[in-house]
Amino acid sequence: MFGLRRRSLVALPVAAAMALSLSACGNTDDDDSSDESGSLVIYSARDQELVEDLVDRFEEAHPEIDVEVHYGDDFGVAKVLEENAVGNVQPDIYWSQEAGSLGVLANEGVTQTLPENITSQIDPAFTSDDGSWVGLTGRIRVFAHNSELIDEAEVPDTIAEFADPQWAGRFDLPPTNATFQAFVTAMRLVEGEDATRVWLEAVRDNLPEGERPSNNGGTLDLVEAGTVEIGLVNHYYLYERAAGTENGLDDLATRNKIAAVGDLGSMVNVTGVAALSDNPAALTFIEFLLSEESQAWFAETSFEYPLVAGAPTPEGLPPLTDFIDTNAKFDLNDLSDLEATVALLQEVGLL
Amino acid sequence: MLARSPRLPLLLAAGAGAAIATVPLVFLLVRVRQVDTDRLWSIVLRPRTIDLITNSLALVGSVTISCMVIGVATAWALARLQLPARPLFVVLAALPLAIPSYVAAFGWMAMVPGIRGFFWSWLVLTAVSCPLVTLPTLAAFSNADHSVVETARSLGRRPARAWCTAMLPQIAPAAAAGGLLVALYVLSEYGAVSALRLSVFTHAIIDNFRTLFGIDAALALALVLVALAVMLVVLERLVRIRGERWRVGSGAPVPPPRIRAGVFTPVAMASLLVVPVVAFGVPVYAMLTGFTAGGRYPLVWSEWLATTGTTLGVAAAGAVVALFVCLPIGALAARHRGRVVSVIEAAGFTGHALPGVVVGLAFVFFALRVAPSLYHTVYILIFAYGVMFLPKAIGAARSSIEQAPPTLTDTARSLGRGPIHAWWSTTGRIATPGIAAGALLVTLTIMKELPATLFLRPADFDTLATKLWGLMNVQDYGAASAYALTLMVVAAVPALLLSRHSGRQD
Repeated sequence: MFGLRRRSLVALPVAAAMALSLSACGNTDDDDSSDESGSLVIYSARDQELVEDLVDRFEEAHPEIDVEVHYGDDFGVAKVLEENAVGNVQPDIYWSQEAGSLGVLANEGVTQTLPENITSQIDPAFTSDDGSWVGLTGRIRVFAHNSELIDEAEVPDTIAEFADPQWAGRFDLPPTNATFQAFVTAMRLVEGEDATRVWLEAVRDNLPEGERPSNNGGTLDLVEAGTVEIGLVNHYYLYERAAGTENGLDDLATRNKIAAVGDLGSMVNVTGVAALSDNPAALTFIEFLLSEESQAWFAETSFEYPLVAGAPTPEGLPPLTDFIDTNAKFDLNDLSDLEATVALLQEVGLL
Repeated sequence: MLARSPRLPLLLAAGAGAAIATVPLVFLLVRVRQVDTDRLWSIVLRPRTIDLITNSLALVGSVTISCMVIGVATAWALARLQLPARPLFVVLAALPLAIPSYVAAFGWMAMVPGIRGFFWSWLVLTAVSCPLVTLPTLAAFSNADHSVVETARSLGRRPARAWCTAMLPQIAPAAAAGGLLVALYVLSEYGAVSALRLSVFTHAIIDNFRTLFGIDAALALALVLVALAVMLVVLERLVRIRGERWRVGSGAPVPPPRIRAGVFTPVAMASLLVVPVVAFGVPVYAMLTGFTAGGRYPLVWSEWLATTGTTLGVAAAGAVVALFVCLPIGALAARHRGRVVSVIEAAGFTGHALPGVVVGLAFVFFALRVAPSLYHTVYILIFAYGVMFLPKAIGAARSSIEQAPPTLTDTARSLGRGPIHAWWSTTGRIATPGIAAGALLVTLTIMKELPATLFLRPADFDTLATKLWGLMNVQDYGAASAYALTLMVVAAVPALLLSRHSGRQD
């Protein structure tokens, strides 16, 4: 007696068609205008919740430019590669979470060389050497630790120490995370393939049983919950977490420890942008991201290091210049050599 | 009647539907051919692959078996026992469908910190998947002809034997179809197992996918997953009891008197609460707690409203697509056997066995080549939804058409009606509620879909699932809880309609 009557079966497709035409309305304008010069298509690997505000500021400053942002993890690179295979690359801008994916796009030949006045604003240690993309912000690798379980002094000073059996079962890391992989790539470049394999195998044997956390946030969760004492993550996750609590850091047990100066454990990875078309609005957008206002916004809102010389250091962190020596040991552009890193991680069974 | 070969238009329509359903598989085959063969084998044959497949199959097997046992027992209790507040229990049995598995996992992790591994993955996946067996089996109990059991008893069979020979075959197709959906779902599940950190096969695929140079490896591994899924589909076809499913006699089915459980009534009621509490109660409580905790990004109500509307719209539209594609396949599979029919039916299931990221990339590939003007529009997204969740519609269409006696259509035709008209006025009429239930199931599954949506959605387009994901990424669990709760409430609507369909007593 409660069965769907035939009338409601007819109503279902009608309602769906209405909903379809309603939700499609919003998009038809964008499709028509995307070929006009005043529009800008962005693929963003940066989180929507975080950078939406900055995009809004850009739109306010440039009402003549119609901005269309596609957010979606790092899947954007996979999409651009498929688009390039049929000669139909969609975005004008690729906005990355890390240097490696920008290098992949540069190697694929889909990036435009950026003008000198843009690329020269960033220290060469933190940007591309051929102008195929430009760095925007930096994040350092840290040893996040639960201060209720372990004293900061006991936490290792160098990344090499995590290979020691005394740390077995006491720390975790996210092997699929792009910045962790960038670190492994840097280690391969600096210490060589064999030394990296030995370190990875020792670390693999030291990691707790079960599946690895899937990202930095998940790793931080484990530290905060006390499941492990230490997590290898990026510095800003702790501050992001603290921003959502009532009393900030005081409400959290986790603290960051930065590795000894010069140790790869605190290398800097960068976020950046590449222009994938000659749309002039793309350069306008990049200039906006490098402006004093945007750089300060990053320091205050995402707790990252703004890369433009003279920009403010996020509160409570050592100056960016502390890390130039660490990063000078390798070329950030070579971080796009992910293939060998992935093969190595697969070989040792971390992927 | 089963021996009769299918008419050409039906075969063509079903074949076309199957072709649409294999878009992701075709993409995989084309792309994997471009991978260096040595590299491909070295990825597929490494020891970790065997470990992961073992874990995946153990999880698929244990979750499917527990869902079949709990689902059939629940359906029987709801159909045959005299229970106080029975409609409420039917609703409770359907509600777990509204819970995305990853939300259930996060809810449990918030309540019991530190949980992970096989047992918890099994618990969460069993609880959220049970209704996939319970609901179709309950509907089959309601439609079943109980006079056959009486006949068997009158011929001297003991009650249990009589039930097994006369009732079990009537509900087996529905239970088996539900079991297949559970198995395929668990095989391609990523959200909950990833949160609970169980090493299964989808992990290897997604992990490799996320690392840009691992895409080739991911696609090669995805092919292995498709092979496993095809094995499951074949297995279900073997298990499904063949034969004529319709009633022997004419007239209405005989509703048997409900069994009085007496002192066992409270036990039965308590048992019926276990699955809803695990799947729904605990996560909802955790999300409510999380919501009140607040967070960094305040909830914008206009955005919330628009997102809810969009989610409803695309989910309903995707279900309509699935409905149109599934009907010929379901009609064919219900009435005909043979190799071609098997291939078409199996093809309909391939999209469901693949992780969402693979389906997402497949439709990027497809749209760019076949319909570039539709790329990044809501249409391609809806189309992909329809294909991904087609099996849920096919199963429902097939089992409800199976229950309609084909002789009715023949009679209608002999009275001068055209083939389509004759089919609609007889089989179509009887099968409609079941098919509509399939469409509802597709609707609520689409609401919970995430990875393919991330690939295919237009700019400035959010569903409840993408908002939830985005907020989790920036560690704002307060606002994320609000979206999780909304998603559960919205998905509860089709779940309620489904329970009313399955639990109806004509």
